[in-house]
Amino acid sequence: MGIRRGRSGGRSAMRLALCSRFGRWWRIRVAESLAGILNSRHLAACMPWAAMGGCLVTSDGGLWEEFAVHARAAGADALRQPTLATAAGQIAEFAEGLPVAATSVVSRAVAGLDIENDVHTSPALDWYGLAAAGIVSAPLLVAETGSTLLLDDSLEDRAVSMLASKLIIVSNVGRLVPTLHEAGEWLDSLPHTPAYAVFMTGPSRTADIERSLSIGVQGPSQILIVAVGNDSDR
Amino acid sequence: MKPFEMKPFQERYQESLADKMISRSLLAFQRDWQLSRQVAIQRAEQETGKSFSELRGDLAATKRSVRAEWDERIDQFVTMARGAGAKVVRCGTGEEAVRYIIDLCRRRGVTLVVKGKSMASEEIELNRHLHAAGITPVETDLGEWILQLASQSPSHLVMPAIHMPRHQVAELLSRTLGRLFDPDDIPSMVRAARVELRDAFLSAGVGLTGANALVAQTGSILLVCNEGNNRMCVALPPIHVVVAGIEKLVPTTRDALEQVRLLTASATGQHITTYVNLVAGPRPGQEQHIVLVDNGRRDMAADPRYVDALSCIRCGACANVCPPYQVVGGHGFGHIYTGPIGLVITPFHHALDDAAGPQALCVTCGACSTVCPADIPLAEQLLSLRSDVVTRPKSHRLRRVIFAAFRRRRLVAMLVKIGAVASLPFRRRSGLQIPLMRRHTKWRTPPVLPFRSARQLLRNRPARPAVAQTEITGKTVAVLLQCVSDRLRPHVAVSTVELLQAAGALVETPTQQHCCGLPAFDGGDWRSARKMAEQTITTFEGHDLIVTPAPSCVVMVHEYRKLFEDSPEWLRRAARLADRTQDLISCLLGPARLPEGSLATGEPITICIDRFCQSTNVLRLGHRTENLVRHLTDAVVATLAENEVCCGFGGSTSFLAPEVSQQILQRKLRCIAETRASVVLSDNPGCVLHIGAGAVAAQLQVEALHPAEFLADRLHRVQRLAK
Repeated sequence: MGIRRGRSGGRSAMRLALCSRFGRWWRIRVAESLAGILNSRHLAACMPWAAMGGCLVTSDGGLWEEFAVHARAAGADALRQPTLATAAGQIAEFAEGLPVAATSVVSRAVAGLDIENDVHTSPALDWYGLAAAGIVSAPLLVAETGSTLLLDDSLEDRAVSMLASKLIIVSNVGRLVPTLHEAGEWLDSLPHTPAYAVFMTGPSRTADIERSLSIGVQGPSQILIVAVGNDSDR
Repeated sequence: MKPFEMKPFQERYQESLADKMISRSLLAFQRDWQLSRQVAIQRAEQETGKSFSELRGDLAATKRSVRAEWDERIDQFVTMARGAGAKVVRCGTGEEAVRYIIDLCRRRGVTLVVKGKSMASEEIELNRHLHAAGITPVETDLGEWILQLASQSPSHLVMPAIHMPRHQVAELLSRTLGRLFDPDDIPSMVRAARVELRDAFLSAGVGLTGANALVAQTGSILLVCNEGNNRMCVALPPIHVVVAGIEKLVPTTRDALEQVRLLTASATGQHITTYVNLVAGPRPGQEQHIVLVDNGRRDMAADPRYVDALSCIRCGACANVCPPYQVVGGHGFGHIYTGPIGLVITPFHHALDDAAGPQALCVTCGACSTVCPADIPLAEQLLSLRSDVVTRPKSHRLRRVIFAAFRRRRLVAMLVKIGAVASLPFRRRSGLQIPLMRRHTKWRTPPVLPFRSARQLLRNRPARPAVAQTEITGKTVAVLLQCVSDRLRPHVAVSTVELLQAAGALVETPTQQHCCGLPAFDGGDWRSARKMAEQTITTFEGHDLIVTPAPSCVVMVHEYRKLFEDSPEWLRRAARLADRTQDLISCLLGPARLPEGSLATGEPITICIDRFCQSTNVLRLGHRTENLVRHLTDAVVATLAENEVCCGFGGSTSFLAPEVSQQILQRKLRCIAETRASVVLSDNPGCVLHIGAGAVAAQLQVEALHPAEFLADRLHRVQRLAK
């Protein structure tokens, strides 16, 4: 797995300017270290949504299969694993050794761990989004459409799912709802309206030139959804 | 890159006709869209356990409920949005909105604005004004970006650059970006946009978006997109500006998400777009300004004829089923807003004159109303619009004179006779060959004008013997001949009478009858239409069952309520007539139903059946003609593709915009030719004449008949065989 080098000249200058503009990023070396950090001990820290309140309506059985079919139909890959640790191999394979940017929620789970985040040795995140991967967490999965709900607020956090070309979305099987209707009810029932919420379904796409489908216009071109937990979590 | 300037309608129309790629790509798109929409709607029906009509009824009800307490909802939204940290301004006109945005840019020293796709900003012509103020707007939706580089306007609400083929895009990008693009490598063009636009996203001072919905309860805006450009416009620049019409309000997040389901299914046949963003206030460290635009919306709400157009969610479905739109695209069929809904709202956001040209292309087939996810009565609104256009002072005088003449039954009878004599030198076996009228006749050979009208042929004609006992045996049935069959295709009316007699009816054809008023109504001259309606009502007042071979007349009789809104007495009489009037096919399937196979001749024949668009879209008659033919005869009915799409006759349209009518007819004729049938049936006499005339001009070996003619012919054969 080779490390992509930043492109020369103007692009590097731009990248530096951008890094300073968006502040500090967590950069994680993938492969073995990623497998190490993604273990179930830190799962709760990755997904603090129970504390958000609101009324979550889920229904019994069959939802994961429905979700996975629709997510795949939209062009994302969907995995279910008992813990993040058991999914780590597949996540690392998906990330292909690219530098990984994480949202602050995910980073907090990562922060206490002994991981390498050396800005000098790992290549900076490419703001042109051609080389980097990102990892975010989703508080809700919608079976009807295969969508994931992301609630990231700050620019740094939003930028992960906006600019990375490969995106990993982690969530919990217990956060599956049947349709958009229940998702809307949950959002309406929250004590505080999230400043930003996005239902993301598959990779960024366009058909604006002769209706020919192209993947990866502005956002990610590949998406891996990892839902952890067993049915007993529901 | 020069800002876009709107050309006059005639110029746009001619350019659109000249560009063959437009109709070709739109035809392919409309056909694909039909299929994917159907799948997406079916899935929405399954997920919700509701039918499409219930779903759209719900959406319309939500939008109506908001309008019922509009001010309160706007106040609620403003309060919540301010609470979330946004600055909200209400603008009465487009100019006010433009001024606010330009002032904001100037105050903050912004010279570059990135824009997500927003029809509201197109409506107020924001780009042109920004350019004039020295501020550069950059469209970031791929299609809009390409159009901006080409100095064009969107031709479709959802697929803005659908009219532009890949080689033109490649040329444009090669010219603009200074390196060569391969027209067959679309992904490389998309990648170029990604790189070019990322610089703009990261250096712009303002990100400007529209809104698909404004959620009153939370003060959030809902934005859908597939490319991901919208969320970048929202988040990356230090200032986020939202421009939205006040009709976009919905009560709750749930309502907004319910709307997404219908929006995406209707727009692109997707179950959901890649991104559905809910934005409540600015991100940390950002400013957010929400510009709420009225610009004619309250005037629309005050006009009961057009108020429902405020429920529009800008999905573009109405354009995706519109036959004239398929021919000329949005630049011809629309102003800034395009397609059927665009025509309806243009007088409010822009001017009635701006809608005058394109509305003449509407064939009044009513397909738009059937797919609208917000249940907007677009077909009715388009007729009201036409009437508004035609009755503008000092306009369409000739048309009004023509309809005033057409009102007179004897004058029309005389003119047809004069025409029949005058056209004698041009008679050929297949029809009339008239020089000097090439624009109208080279694709549609006019039929030979008959010397004798149906009423003359029917006078003193002995009744046909009854074939069997039916519900109408021994009863009196009045036949509304319809002006077209009476004067131009008497055989249809005669056949109708024969079939009813075969069912045992005593048939009367009141001689005072003339025209139900449909041509004038469709043509926008409602004064003449009303005169003809009054005459028709009076003529048929004494009859209990009125049957007509023309479903268009049945549709018209039901439309009378619009003509008599100010007269309860006429309304009552019109309603009585509507209750007792039936189209021939329904009558033959209902009270005049003959035993199964009673017109079977044993001679093999393959036919195909075109459904008159208004029978399908307005009267919802569906498979009736097929059912009747299968019930009575042994003819093989071949499947006709697109049998519910208009044939392009469209009354006045085929005379005022013959090029559009011609292309729609050719689409129909191609489908007919594919069936290899020797006969095509259409249940509307006008369409029979239109399709027949086109088939002759195209030298197609197919005969266009009205079902009455076909069935009467079977009847004659059966009775001959019996002897």
